[in-house]
Amino acid sequence: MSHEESPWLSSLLDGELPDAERSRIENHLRRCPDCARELLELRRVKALLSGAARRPLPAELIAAIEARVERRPSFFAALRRLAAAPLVWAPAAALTMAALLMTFWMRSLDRTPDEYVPLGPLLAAHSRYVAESLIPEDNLVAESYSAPDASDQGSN
Amino acid sequence: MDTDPAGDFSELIRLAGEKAYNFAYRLAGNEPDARDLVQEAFVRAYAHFGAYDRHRPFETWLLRILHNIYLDGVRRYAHGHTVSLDAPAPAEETSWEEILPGGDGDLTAEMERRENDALLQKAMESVPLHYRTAVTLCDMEDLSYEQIGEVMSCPVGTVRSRIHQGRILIKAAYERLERKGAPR
Ligand SMILES: [Zn+2]
Repeated sequence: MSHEESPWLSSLLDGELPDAERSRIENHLRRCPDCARELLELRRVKALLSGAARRPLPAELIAAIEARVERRPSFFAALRRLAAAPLVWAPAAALTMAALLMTFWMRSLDRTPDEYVPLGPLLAAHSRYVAESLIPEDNLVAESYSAPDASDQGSN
Repeated sequence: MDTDPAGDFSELIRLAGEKAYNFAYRLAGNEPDARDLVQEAFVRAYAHFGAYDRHRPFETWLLRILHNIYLDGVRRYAHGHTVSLDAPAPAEETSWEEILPGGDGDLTAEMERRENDALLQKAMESVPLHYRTAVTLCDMEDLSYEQIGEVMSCPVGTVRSRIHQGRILIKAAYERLERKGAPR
């Protein structure tokens, strides 16, 4: 049979009783075999549950979470995403390719760049894509985008 | 800002992940769903990291998110089915013989452990969700009543009675299953 102290037995077991309440329940337990027995059974259930098998966190789950929360994806992760979402990436990729080709083409000519290609808008567009995280910075070869300097190309 | 939030977060995944995964497993009852729950909980925690109060344990906050995702899923499922969070789920009528491969008594210790665990999980799943959640958080994940109240969005008094009732119900279900199927 269940006494009014019964609901407090689990709290006692868990060390979650205020001191005053605890001494009242403990006093009752000394006089009441029913509640003492119930406490014993609750203790067994708790032991069964706390001794249950634990599963280690799977390594692939850690990797999957990290892949989703990484703020700045690696170059290869970006490539994988590029492959997964070609429509989204197409404009950025095309722009990048165009800018690269344009730069090499200009360098192959012995002329000042401002005569030929307005690189400014292309670079601005690229910066915007980078700022909006559409292209990771390491997706680009840095020197391809450095402003043409006087010693290099403007020497004539 | 010098620190890399993604780097800090990796540390948190390693610190709180095991607890989250085991809690999720006991909620969902299977590993694929547990993995999905944990992944979703971490992704949402990361997205709302600004709302996390750093003076409180991260794991409590994470488990609260995970629990809410699970409840959301259950409610969505319940929308098209007859499921109540407070009433016992209709118990699957799987007998001990069906869980056991042989029942001829020559089981290895490991198999026995797994079967006992399966039996315990089955017993827990026959108990109303709110009760077994409180018991899981207390006995398996070692949370205080106050932390459990935070995870389950309820006062400590409610936690107290859910744990007590939950243990009584789990014990009864476990013994019933043992009696029903024990081959020996
Ligand atoms: Zn009593």
